[in-house]
Amino acid sequence: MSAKCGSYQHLIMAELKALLNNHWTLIVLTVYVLFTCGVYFSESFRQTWLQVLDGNLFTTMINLYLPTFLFIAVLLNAAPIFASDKKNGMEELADTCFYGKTFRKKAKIEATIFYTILITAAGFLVTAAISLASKTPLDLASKAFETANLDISMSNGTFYLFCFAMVVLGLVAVVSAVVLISSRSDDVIVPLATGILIYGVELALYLKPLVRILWDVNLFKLLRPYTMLSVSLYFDSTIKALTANVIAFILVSVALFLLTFAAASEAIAKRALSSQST
Amino acid sequence: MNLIGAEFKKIVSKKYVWILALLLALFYAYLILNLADNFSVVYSKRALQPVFQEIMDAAYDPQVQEYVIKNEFNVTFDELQPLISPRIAQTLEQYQGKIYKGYDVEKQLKDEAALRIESLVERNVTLNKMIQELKNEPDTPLNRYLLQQYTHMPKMEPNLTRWDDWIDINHSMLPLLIGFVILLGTSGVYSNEYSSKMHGTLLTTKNGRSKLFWSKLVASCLFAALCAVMFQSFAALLYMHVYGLPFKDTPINSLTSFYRMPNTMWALQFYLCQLAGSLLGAIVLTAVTLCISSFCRSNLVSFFISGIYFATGALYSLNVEGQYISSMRTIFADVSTFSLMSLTNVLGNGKVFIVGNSAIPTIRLTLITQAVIFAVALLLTYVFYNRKEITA
Repeated sequence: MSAKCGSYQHLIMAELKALLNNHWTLIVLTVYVLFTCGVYFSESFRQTWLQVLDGNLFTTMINLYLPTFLFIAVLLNAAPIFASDKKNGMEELADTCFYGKTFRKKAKIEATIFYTILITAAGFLVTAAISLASKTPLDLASKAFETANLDISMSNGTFYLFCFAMVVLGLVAVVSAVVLISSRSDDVIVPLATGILIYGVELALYLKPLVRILWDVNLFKLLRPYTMLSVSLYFDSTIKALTANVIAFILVSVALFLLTFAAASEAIAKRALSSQST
Repeated sequence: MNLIGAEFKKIVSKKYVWILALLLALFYAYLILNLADNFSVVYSKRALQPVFQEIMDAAYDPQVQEYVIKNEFNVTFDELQPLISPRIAQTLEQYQGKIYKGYDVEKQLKDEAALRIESLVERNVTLNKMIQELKNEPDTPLNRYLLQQYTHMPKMEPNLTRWDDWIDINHSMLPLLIGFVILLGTSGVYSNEYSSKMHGTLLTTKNGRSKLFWSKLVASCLFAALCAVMFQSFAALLYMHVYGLPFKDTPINSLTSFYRMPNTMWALQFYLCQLAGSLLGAIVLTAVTLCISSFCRSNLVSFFISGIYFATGALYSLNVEGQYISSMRTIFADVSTFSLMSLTNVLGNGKVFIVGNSAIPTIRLTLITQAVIFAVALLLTYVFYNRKEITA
């Protein structure tokens, strides 16, 4: 593409800006900030509503609460990414442009992935900032879950990075499914409901470990990273379970994104054929 | 009737509602059917049902009671055998040498029989102790209520009837599934009209929008009722397949989940109340969703806000269960739409809310609150939907 028409990077940036400026991002982050302030600054709020992990508020927030807020934000932004275009006819308009369909679709998917990484980073940074503002140390050098005797031990600093990576992976996996459904539906409620359904099913499989492998390879474990550091029901070691979970979700995400592209190509081919016949 | 039919058709013709409902139903069936080969499902209660009466008689036998109390509620089947009906041992003998999934069936069943007798004795001792304590306690509304309930409880029975499993149907998962499908089907009832600009066009028609309001309401409520009936029937079929029908009715205080709860109901009566609660809750949820849909231009927003309303009540309610007193902190959970659809927390636990000198059963507050929510939701929907109505 020539610079005159706008580069591919411009397209991604435009899509990313649209996602970041979406009012849902602001609403969800505001609610999260208020909740986090309540947790860090009010002891009575903390005692009434919070279950503290490892005596560490930052660990508690990034494992038990932040992923849920991020899930909501990502879901609300990813669900309409293609479905709303179909509804208002924007998709057909894009088809009339030379690079409209494929480049735009690719840019939208990449922007959604960047958005997921950015909003997760924002969530972690906001929590850390509130933690420091309330004079609650992050204890980066101490050992995470020192008293719990976990199978995999690491320092708090490493554990926070591990949590970040796992939450991003979990959210990207959700995004990949939601984006695929969004590209095949003209009603935004369908991808949204699918995202909620996936979360609910994974939660049920986590709470009722009927099939052991589905307890180990579970989205909910990625969104609650501390659960991956001990106990495996199917594998003989925790590290194997962790590796299997990570590999499985990377493969699923890649496959779903490829399917989304395939759907786009199929649609282009169909339209080309129908225009030739007319 | 034509208008109602057309509106109903509009809701049920959304393919995605049925696809997602089917996926949910399949997943639910998968979870329940997975329990079918558990030892407790195949043997524990099923094998002991023929000697239900003998186990009950043993638990109320003064000699057995004295022995169990003397041994601090920790006895074995062999210790009890000389004191109880020989029919119990004869019935269990047929499982001699049988191994199921690594369990020695006869031994497990003997342990289970001893546990049932021991637990029933312990429960009766605890109940009598609580009644005595309450008689000596100060005369407060809560104590009066508890004394009244505990002294009027039906005679406790061994927990062998399967009613605990049947009552568990509506504990959490099924109300959530029903709620989810209702939200899917009804969140776009008004929002879709706004986004397609149909609401403006309707003003040019003879009857405007007001007649449509009632048709949409009736059609949506019909859809909600249909969802509740379908999911309840499906769950009942699954439970019938896995656990079988309870062979007799039993007082609810005989079930482990409601141990020590001041509830004088019978299990069948409670299950029927749960079915009615599920239906009523589904209709209230529909009214709330319609109200939210009537001021949202996008069904995504409507679905999300309605979902937050229902999920908040559900999460809160599931977190505060297990008590029989409603406090200012728990009352919002107790009167939620989810609580009405489940009833386990509010009615099952016999919850009361203390106001001044009286103890009000929380279920009454739940019903009143939900009736008010229903009425207010309808009123607001009418106002929002007809606010641009042209009168001739």
